[in-house]
Amino acid sequence: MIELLVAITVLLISLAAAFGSQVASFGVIDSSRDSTLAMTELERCMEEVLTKSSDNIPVDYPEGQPIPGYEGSRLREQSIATRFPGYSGSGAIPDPLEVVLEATWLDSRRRPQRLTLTTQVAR
Amino acid sequence: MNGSVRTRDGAAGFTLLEMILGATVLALLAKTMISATTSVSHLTESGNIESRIQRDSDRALSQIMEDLRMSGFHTVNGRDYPYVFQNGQPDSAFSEFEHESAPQSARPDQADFGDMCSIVLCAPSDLDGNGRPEIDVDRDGIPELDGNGDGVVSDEPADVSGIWDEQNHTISEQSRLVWSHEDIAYMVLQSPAGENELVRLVDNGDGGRKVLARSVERLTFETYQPGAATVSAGTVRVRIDFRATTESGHLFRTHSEALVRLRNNSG
Repeated sequence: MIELLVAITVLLISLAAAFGSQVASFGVIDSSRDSTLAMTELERCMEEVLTKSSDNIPVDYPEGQPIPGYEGSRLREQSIATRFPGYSGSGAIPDPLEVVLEATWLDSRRRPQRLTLTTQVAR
Repeated sequence: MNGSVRTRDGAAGFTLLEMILGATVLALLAKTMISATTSVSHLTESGNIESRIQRDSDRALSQIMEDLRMSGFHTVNGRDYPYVFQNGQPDSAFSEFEHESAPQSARPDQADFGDMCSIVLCAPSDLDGNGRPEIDVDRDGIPELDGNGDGVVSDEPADVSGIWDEQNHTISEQSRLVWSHEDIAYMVLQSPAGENELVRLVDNGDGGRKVLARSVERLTFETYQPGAATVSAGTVRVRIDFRATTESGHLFRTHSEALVRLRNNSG
């Protein structure tokens, strides 16, 4: 009986290890796919933002506000918002204007993730 | 007594209880393994479809965006570009692009339901293949090319003869950019295998045909319409909806969308 129990225990431990590594590999694949998707979304969003002139960008895409059309579209609770380092929101718009797009989303374990894309727009 | 049975010749064996217990545990393990393998198999299948659609989506949208960026709102060879038409039915100026609209399965209450669009774009020429559009800088009606590949552009015979063809190109009045009469079209066609394919046609297929994506449910292009709440002037919004069903019956839907400013709009 003891031999049998030991054999079953060893079998269960090895199976648990095998499944554990499989689950971990799925997690890594998910995370890699999410990052690629987020970068693609950021590039598309940047393309859209750059259709405006630097004077209009902070007006049409206010700092910190989620950009419509990119909320939850491809990733869990996805959101893309702008930041303008060097511009406080009032006064003259700097030339060039630094535009930072920040994508935030939740990974498969619902941990918050973020990725940014930065460019500068001259008047 | 240690749970195993000693036979008459002294060899050890299993009791019936051990046999039943071992068989039950193995049966439970086997059931768990089969169920887990089936789940992983389904997960892999849907993951493969998702990855394939993702790849197709990125490739298609990148190609469309690249062509749109290089294009412009122009009249070339008597036709106004870009030209968007619905359900494979262009007007008479673009009649050669008429095609049977690919079948769609979305219901009216779903986001990917609606007309299927196609677009025809004008493209700047790259006759010398140096990756840069041609411009007639000195306004003499012949663009400066690098036909002999020496890295220096000119409109001397060594650079232009054999490749410059004024019958098939239009030089823009203002910008002097050279536009090819070989336009570029994007449309969704049904393949012989019954799948919806997004294709890129150069010169309506005579200059090349490339399949960019499969499982396309709907393709839409939105251009500026005066007086309507649409995209801003000089830009085009493109959206591709995908729809695929796995062998286990799971329906996978996604879409990609981008707003692009056409860079060569200045005449």
